[in-house]
Amino acid sequence: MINIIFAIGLILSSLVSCSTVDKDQEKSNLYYAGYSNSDFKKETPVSYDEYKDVYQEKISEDDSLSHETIARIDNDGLRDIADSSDPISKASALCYQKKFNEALSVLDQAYNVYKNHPGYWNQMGTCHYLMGKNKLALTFYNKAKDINKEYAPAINNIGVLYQDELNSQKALVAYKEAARLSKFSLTPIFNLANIYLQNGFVQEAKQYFSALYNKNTSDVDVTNGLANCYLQEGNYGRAIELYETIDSKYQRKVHIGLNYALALKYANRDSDAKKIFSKLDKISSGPILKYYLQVKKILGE
Amino acid sequence: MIMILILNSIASVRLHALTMSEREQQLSDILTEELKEISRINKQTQSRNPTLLLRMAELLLEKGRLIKEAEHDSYMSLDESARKNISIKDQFEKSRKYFEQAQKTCFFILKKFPSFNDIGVVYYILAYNAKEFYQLDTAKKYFSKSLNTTQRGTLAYRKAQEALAELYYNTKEYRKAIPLYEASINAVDDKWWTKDAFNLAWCYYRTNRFNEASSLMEAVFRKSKDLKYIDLSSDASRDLAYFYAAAGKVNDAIKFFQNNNVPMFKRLFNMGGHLVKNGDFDGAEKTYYEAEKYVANDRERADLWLAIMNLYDKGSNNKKHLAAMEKLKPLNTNGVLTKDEKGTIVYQAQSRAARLQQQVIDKRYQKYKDELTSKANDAVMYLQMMAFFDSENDQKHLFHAGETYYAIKQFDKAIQYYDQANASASVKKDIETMKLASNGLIASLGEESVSKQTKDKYIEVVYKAFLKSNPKSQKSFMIYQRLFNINMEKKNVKDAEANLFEMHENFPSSHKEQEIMLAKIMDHYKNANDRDNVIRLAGYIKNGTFSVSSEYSKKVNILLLTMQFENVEKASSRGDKILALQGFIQIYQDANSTPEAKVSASYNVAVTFYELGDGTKNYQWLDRALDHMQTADVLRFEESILNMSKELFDRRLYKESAAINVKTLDKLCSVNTKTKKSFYKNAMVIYTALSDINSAEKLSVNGVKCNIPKEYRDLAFLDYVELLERHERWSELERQIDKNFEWVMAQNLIRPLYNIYKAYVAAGRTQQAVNVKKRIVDIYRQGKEKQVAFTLDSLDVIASFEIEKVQQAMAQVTLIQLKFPEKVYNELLQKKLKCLDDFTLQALQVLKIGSGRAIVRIYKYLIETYDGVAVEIEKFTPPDKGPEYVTSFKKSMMSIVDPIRSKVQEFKTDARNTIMKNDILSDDNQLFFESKLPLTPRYFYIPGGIVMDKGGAK
Repeated sequence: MINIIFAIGLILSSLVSCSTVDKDQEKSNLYYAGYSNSDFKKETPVSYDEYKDVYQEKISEDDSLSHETIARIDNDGLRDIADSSDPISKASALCYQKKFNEALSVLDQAYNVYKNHPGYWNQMGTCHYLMGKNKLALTFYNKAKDINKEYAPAINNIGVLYQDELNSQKALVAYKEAARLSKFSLTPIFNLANIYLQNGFVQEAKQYFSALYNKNTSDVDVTNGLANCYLQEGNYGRAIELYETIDSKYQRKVHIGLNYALALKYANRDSDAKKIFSKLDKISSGPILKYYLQVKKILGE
Repeated sequence: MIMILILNSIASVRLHALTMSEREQQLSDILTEELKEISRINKQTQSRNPTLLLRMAELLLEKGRLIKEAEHDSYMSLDESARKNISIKDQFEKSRKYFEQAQKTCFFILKKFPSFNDIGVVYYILAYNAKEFYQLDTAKKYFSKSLNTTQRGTLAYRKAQEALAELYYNTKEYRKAIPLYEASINAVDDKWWTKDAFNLAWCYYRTNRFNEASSLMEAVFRKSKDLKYIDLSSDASRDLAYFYAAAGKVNDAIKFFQNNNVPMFKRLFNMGGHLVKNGDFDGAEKTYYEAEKYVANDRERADLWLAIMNLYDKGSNNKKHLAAMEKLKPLNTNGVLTKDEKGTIVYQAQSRAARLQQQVIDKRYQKYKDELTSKANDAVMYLQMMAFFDSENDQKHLFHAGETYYAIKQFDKAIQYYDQANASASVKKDIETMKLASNGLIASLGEESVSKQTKDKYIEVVYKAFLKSNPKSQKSFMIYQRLFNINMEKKNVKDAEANLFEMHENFPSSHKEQEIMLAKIMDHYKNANDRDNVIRLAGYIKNGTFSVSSEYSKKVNILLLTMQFENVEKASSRGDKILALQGFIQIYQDANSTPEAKVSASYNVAVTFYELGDGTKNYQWLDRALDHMQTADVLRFEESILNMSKELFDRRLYKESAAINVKTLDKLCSVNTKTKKSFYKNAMVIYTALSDINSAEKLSVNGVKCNIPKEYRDLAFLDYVELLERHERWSELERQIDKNFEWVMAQNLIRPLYNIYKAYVAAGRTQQAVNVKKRIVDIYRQGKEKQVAFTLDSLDVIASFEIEKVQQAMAQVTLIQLKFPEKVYNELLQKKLKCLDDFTLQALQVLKIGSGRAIVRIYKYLIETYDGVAVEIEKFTPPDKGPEYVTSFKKSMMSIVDPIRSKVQEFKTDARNTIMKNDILSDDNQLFFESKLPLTPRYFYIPGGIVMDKGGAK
């Protein structure tokens, strides 16, 4: 009897649109409509391979970090990556483009395959970070770390969260830990260089920037950081050399050009200093305005 | 001559007196008349004539006899009660007077006339009179005297002789009678010969002279054919049968009867009876069976078989006795037998049956099985006879037949008779016997040795009948169960179910038995895969109709589950998970599904959607499942539920994940399980991440109620505190800290309290701010004593309070403005340097706190203050003084300034070293690394760090 009932059930399930289907049957069909037995097949999970955890695309030769992060990549670059077949890369690009729903959708679809991949959860954390949901971001970074306790990106990113909370001290620890765990990763080095230089640790910063610079001399931020270190040391010549390698379009950036001009000034190249200063982008506010005015005064402008 | 006439007349009167009362009266009148005349003559002769006296005695005797007969008739005509009230003496008073008068008269003759010729007649009258008074010995004495005094050959002699012979005959003195009769028949060959010979033949017979007896009786028979003699042929032929029988001459008798055309049956029958009387049972048997050949009608046949039956009743051969009874059956059917005859048959059968039954139950016979069986069979045969001949009570006899077989444990046979008894009793409405027979049937059918055939034939009907009339008896309790088992064996499940309900109705408290019965039916339906009926019966348990043990209730639930899920599991095991899913959903939606089934079904659906990666549906079904689950169910699945809730979170279904965590926690609240804390912790993490303050607060309360380990509650509390901080819920935050403060979490509460403090300050609530600040400081001080490891945040807060004091001290230093006159200057300088010392001491105390930020700030203050003091002293120019004074003054002041400046450099070096050594990051660091350039270069970059997406190239 029961077998018959089930057999009928099977027939009815194949005739779900038929009006003779009873109400319960119809209701139960609705619950699983759209699924078939093939949906139960387990997709082969992607296991973490540190050698493959890298942006494969040739993104930017001027960006030392672009194999690890696309945080500094412009929109054109992001668009390219958004077309990536790698769902994590794709979601990353979409998140940086602030296309969060689209990005999370990509991650959701990749869940079954990537749920044991620390990079997946790291990216989930970054998307939430970029959405301003730092607590959730921290949870996902921790999840990535739980999957692989030596996964440097997640630890670095936890440092970023600390830094956002103005807890530089904890951020420093995180960056150091990330750098220690992943000896060839550049982003933690870059963050360390920055945080040191921002807090007056010129030598430490110089050490890290130099390392980065040695890898890629065309990275503007690295060159600027290293040049700043030389400037603060009083090695104006070396500083000027480095500033000069920076494309003029970046020299116009205030946070670069001001110090370039100052270096030229201290190197007694007043006219060059003024020239550089004169080409700077206009600013009207922000913490750098005070410094801008101070430099301007020094230059006699 | 007169006497002879009178005697003859007496004889004829005797022959007809009873029927001719009128003639009796006439005779009495004649006798009275003659008696008067004789008395008158006697009186005239003055009693000297003995002949007259003799005649008078004869008349008195005769008159007395007539009166006595009348008195007798009168007496007999009365009813019994009347007779009891009448005196016999009074009743027969009149006749007795005549007899006494006759006797007196005779005695008078004997006395007065001893030589009287007819003295023999006198003795005859006296003898006769004595005979009338039953004075037989006296009568014999007088008859003998009469014979002795009477002339031989005379009529009087013969009469006396005959009378005496008859008297002896009647008193069974055959040997004395024989010569008298012999003399009589040898002497006279008149019509009375046959009579006397008849009596003589009997005397022979009685004295075992059988041959003489039979020969003489044959003569009597022959002479009776002659009209000359009184015809006693009939009596003779009858008695001849006896005599032949006694002589063992049955064949002779038959031959005689045949030759003489005598009715054969009657004679043989009588002969048989006679033989019986004589104790010759074998002869009687033979005669009776011979007589059977001559039976002419049913009456004779009945008499014969009754006689045979009676004959056998004297012996011990039951078979023959029963056979005789059997012969009587058709006669009874034909209405031939009288009530008494039937009574006799029944009586004999009853006696025999009773005796046999007693033997059947007698212990002495128990080991002789064959004999026992034979006796039981005979007893039953008799009881059957009784049932036949006493059909009005046949139910009782049949019942006893059943009892007989029951006694020897022949239950199959017993059952047959009990059944017959029951059926008959039912028709006759004999309730008592019905009850007894039913009990017998029940008891017998309950015996193991009863054949299947018998059981099949009777048991069901019997049980049903019994239950119909005894629905609540003690025995019924067992019969309901037996009948139930029979029906179950026959697969009559509906009937069995009816038995169960009858049991339930009549023995409502027999829960255990009902449970067993119910279980058997359930098993049947289970084996037949009949889920509808299983559900239906389970419904009776559910609605309380049947009260079953909790164990069985669980078993039924498992059964229902098993049946419901069997096909689903089959589908699942062959990989058709969609069909399985459909099955689970149908089970869930089925109104008949038990709560357990709903739990299992909804949970399985949830798991299936979990496998499909459909978080939304996974949540919906898991939520449903939890609604149906009891704590025990949740405990079974807690690990899986925890995994599913985690996956919901991973799939960014945060609220759903939190809801599952909270609901599961609620279900597990009262039990001790290791996952409980995880559900609690995960829910709090989610609420904190989602900034859901209200839910977090509720959860925090539940943590206590659900006895979550304290370390988990503490962590959750700190998350909650952070949440309140982020959302600037200062009042609530302070309330929560007040309520939950403990030293183990003190290191993490300084920062939140500090934020409360700042909020009070910002709001201008100075007093509250002071209070909070005091509390922070107290916590720090007491915490240090308790060796609490305060966080860097906490140390920064404490240090910030101390820095305030340092700032005040620093202000004191700068507040003192140096001025002249010199004395004043010296005092002020003294004072300033004193303040500087105080400031320095305070500042150094702050350095000990261990706050990196405070260290940098303190060094900054030290350097700035010292540098400021040095500059102020160095730059101070005494007013209104000459250059020499001024130069001298300034020179002397440099001795003060230089050490201060050295101190500044020392502070800078210490600061740099401390900063570098401890990696202290601070905006103020720049101060300690300043160059001599007009403008120290600054480094600006995007605030914060760079997010790292991937591990990067290796």
